[in-house]
Amino acid sequence: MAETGFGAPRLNVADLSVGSTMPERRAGPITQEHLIRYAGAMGDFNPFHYDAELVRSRGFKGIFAQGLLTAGILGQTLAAWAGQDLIRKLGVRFAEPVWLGDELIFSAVVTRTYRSDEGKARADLDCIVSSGDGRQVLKGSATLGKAD
Amino acid sequence: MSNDPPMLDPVNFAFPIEWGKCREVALALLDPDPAMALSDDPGVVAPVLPAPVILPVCSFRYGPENAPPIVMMSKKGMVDRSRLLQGGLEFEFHRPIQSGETLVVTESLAKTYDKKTSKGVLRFFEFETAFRTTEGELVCTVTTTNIERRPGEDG
Repeated sequence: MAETGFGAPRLNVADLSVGSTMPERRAGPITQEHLIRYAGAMGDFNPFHYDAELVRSRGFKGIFAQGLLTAGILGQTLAAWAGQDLIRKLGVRFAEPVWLGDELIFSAVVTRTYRSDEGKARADLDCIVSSGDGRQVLKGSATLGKAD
Repeated sequence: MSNDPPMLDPVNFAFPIEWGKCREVALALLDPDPAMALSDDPGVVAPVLPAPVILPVCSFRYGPENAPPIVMMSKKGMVDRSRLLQGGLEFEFHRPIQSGETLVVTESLAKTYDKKTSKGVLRFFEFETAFRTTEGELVCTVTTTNIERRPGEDG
C-alpha cells in the first residue's frame, strides 16, 4: 500500500507515558453552517439539526449538532496530533447536546501504555470534549500505535 | 410492535474510498491539518488522502437502501425512531484506510438486548459494520449502539 504522507506517524508512541496529553484544541463556536457542511458530507439529514420549529416542539431549547460532528472533529484532532495511520481505535459516547454557539474544547490524556501481541507500542487515551460553558458533551477513548 | 427483539439480514455492498469525499469530510470536520485544506496549486495536491476517522460511517450512502441500518429498521416498522437514542460508536482500524481503494462492507445487527432501568425498559441494538478488501482482509470494524426507549414503560 502506498504511503499517503499526510497520515504518516507524527509521534513515537513508545515515547508517550501515562499522563502525556494531546495539546488542547478549541473549535467553534459551532454554527448552522458547520451542521450543514457535515450533513452534506456525511448524509445525516435528521431535521433536529436544521428545523428549529421541530426541535422546540419536541422540548429542546434549539437546534443541536450531530453527535458525530463532535466525534469526527475529535478524530481529526487526534489524527493531526499523532498521525492518522497511528489511530487503532476510537470509541465515543455522547453525553450532552452541542448547541449552536457552543465552543468545543478537545483534550486527551494517556491512561495506559503497553505492547501489542506483535510487540508494537500502544497507548490508550481518555478523550473529553467539553463546551465552553463547562459541560462534558462527549466522552471517548482511543488507542494509538502502528498496525500489527 | 412485537416484544421480541427484531433481527436483520446482513447486507453487503462495495464502498469506494473517494479522494473528493475524504477531503470533503475532512474539511466538514474542521481538520486542523493544513495539508487537508490543500492549495489549488496542482503541485501540492496529494494523489492519495487518508480517510477521515469517521468516514466509514457514511458508507451507508453507497448501500442498496441509502440509509443506516437503524433507519432502515425504522422505515420497516421494526423500531420507533422517535424513541431512539444514540448510544455510542466504536471504530477499530486494523490498518489505515486511503482514498483510491474499494472496500466491501458487511452491515449486520450483531446483538439486541433489553435492560430494565429506573426510567423503564431500554432496548439496545448493536450494529457491526465490517470493512474488508476485495481479497477478504479485515480493515476496519465499526460498532454502533442505538437505544430504544420501549413503549409503555415510561409512563
